[in-house]
Amino acid sequence: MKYPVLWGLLFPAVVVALAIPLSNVIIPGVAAATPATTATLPVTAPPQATTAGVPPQPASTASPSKPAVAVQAAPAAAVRTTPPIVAAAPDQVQTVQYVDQSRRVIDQVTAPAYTTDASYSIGSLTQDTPALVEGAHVDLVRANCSVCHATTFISSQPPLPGSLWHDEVYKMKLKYGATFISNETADQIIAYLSAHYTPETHASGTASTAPSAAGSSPTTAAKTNTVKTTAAPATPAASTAGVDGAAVYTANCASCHGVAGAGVPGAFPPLAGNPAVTGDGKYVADVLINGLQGQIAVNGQPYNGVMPAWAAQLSDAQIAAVLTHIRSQWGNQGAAISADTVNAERARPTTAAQRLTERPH
Amino acid sequence: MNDPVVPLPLTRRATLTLLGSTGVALALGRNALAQRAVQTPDAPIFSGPTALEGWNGLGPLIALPQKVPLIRLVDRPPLYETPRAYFQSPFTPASAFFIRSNLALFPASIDLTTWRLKLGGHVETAVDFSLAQLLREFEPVSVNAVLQCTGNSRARFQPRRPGGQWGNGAMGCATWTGVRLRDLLKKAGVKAGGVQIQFQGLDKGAGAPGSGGAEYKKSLNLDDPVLDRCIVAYAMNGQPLPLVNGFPVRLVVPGYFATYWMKTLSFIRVLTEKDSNFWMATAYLQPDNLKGTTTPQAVKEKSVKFRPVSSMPVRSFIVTPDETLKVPAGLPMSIQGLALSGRGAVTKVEVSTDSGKTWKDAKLGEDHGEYAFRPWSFAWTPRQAGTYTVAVRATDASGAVQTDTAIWNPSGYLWNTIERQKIVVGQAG
Repeated sequence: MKYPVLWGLLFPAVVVALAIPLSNVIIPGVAAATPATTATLPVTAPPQATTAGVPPQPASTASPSKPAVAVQAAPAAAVRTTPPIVAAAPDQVQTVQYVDQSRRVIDQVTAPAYTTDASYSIGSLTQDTPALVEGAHVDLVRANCSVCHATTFISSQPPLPGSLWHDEVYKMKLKYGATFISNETADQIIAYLSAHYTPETHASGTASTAPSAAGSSPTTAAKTNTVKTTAAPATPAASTAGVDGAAVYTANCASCHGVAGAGVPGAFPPLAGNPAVTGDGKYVADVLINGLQGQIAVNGQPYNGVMPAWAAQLSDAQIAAVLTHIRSQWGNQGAAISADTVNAERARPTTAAQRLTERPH
Repeated sequence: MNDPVVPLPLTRRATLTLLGSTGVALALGRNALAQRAVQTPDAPIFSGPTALEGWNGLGPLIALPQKVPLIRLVDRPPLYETPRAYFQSPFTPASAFFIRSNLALFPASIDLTTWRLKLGGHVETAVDFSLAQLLREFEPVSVNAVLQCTGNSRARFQPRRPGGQWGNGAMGCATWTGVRLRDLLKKAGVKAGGVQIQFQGLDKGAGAPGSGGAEYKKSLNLDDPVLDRCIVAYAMNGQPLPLVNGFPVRLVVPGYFATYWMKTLSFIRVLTEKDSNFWMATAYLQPDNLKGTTTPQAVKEKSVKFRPVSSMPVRSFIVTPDETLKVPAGLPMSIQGLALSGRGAVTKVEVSTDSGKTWKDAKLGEDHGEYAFRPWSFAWTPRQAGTYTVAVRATDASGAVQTDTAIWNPSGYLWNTIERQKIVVGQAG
């Protein structure tokens, strides 16, 4: 009993672990002598060489109905015989959803309703992204950086010199495939980080002690209507008058969806010829306000990314203008959308799951 | 207040229990009722620009599915650190194991009717296995091994480096049970001319196709002896792996850093040339010396040669007591902790109570295997009141011993500098 205080803390798992005989530990060189820890009889038939490449029949005797969320075997792509192999993982994987939640309600996650078939799932992962410091270009930081990672990756960093932020942003652009960040945007992001997150500018606790509502991350902001009063832009205007939708598009959308609305295959969906864009105006407004994440398909091409919410950065008039713009460009023929429609959508809370299921196909 | 025994809090709690909820309101009185709703500021989530002083990194405690609350460093992709208290055992509960994914989009659901572990590339026969086959057709083996993030303790670096700002909790030790990698390779038959074996799971990122932000792949050399002890594990501590820790199987590479321990392992490919993907050629590189250390100046001058990280240098940690405990002089106490090495079993742990001026041997605890945490304890009775700086250093079978020289490299990897902690000793009367 070297750790008497521990028994109250320990999980049965550890007790089980401790109970596993040491004789089962692999030691290089004597690994072959390691006995089986389970009584399972070895199945003598090896995998049939003649059927290699053909997925074997399910070994499970479970329910024959295949869950829709199956991880698909990626047939030929997965295993090639001619190296080097750069095959992609399957596209059909249902990936985890990150859901904004506040602390105190998230330290006891509830178990999903398990079934006894061969599907093993977990619920959503909590996202509790702290506020970034407000300042020029913070909207660009949120929109661009949030595509691949929560901005917590920024706010949890120690104060770093501007030169290091420069290197980090260009690493994202050049190595991590954040090709949607233009040089101009990159420099604005660096300017923001240098203005707020360096040893000279990052006062201890600045970010984390900011009131949680002010400058919430876009995804967090989208959840609460209170954000309307704290959003950086002016109070949403009642009409689109005076707002240039094309300019809003260039400044906020073109980095991912392209100047011609063509997107990036496999990474960012096209807006041109995209039925969800030209369809129900309320739906596309909802997506712009609250964001979208998860598995979608556009004209047969699967996408599984994260589009940030824009509720906190764009006014109703700006959203209406940019929606009207993308619905009438590149051959799209969708009706104009008014700021009133956007305003009504803002007031109607929807869930991330809803935005996936309501999506026109 | 001369009475040395004042059991006030207990008495009060007992009273409250007896009174029930009405009594609570009465007992709390006016002050509590008059309290206004105040929004308290969030605790800091970053340290610096000096080095992190605490044992753990900074962040709120948040639970993910199948996990106990862990220290959240980053929410997407998940970087969650294990709190210090869980290291009071040489085995870490699976539910408390740290989480680190390089890419944000990993499966939320695995359908084992279609999931397959696929072996291919430069092999005689491409083969794939369901979990049922892995369970039925191969001899199960177990290994006790520490899984440690390459960037564990990155927040100790000075000057600080970007990345996950881990304290010491990006590590854990479990009993991993599964199938020998060699047994799987035998089924496929590695053809002559293979150079590396590449491993890939099912996680993806939003980065452009072909970039490091799109897929995560790691490779080991075919002539690396570590392959003889690799297993494809379907259980940790006698239970299935939590999904965020790699269900249904993950690669176990005893002695090596976690970057190779591929989660949701689904593809094993024999390559005929060196893997040039981002995660091998650009990321997870250390200066080409055993300690993996260099200087900012040398990096600036581009005079540093790099190589992929591999085995873990020797380390040791003080787990108890933590800084919150004040010790009365004369009280016989036990300082306890863990040690690890990926380069040969831990052979010696020494403790200093004078900040490293003099060292005494600690008592080694049960040996759970070369790659497991080695518990240690050190009996110490502080005679004088004062503030003591306790330090711990370990030696491994390769002869390597921890030093006070700070490790530095651009990515914040391989920290193994001696850990220190203050213990305050007060008058006993």
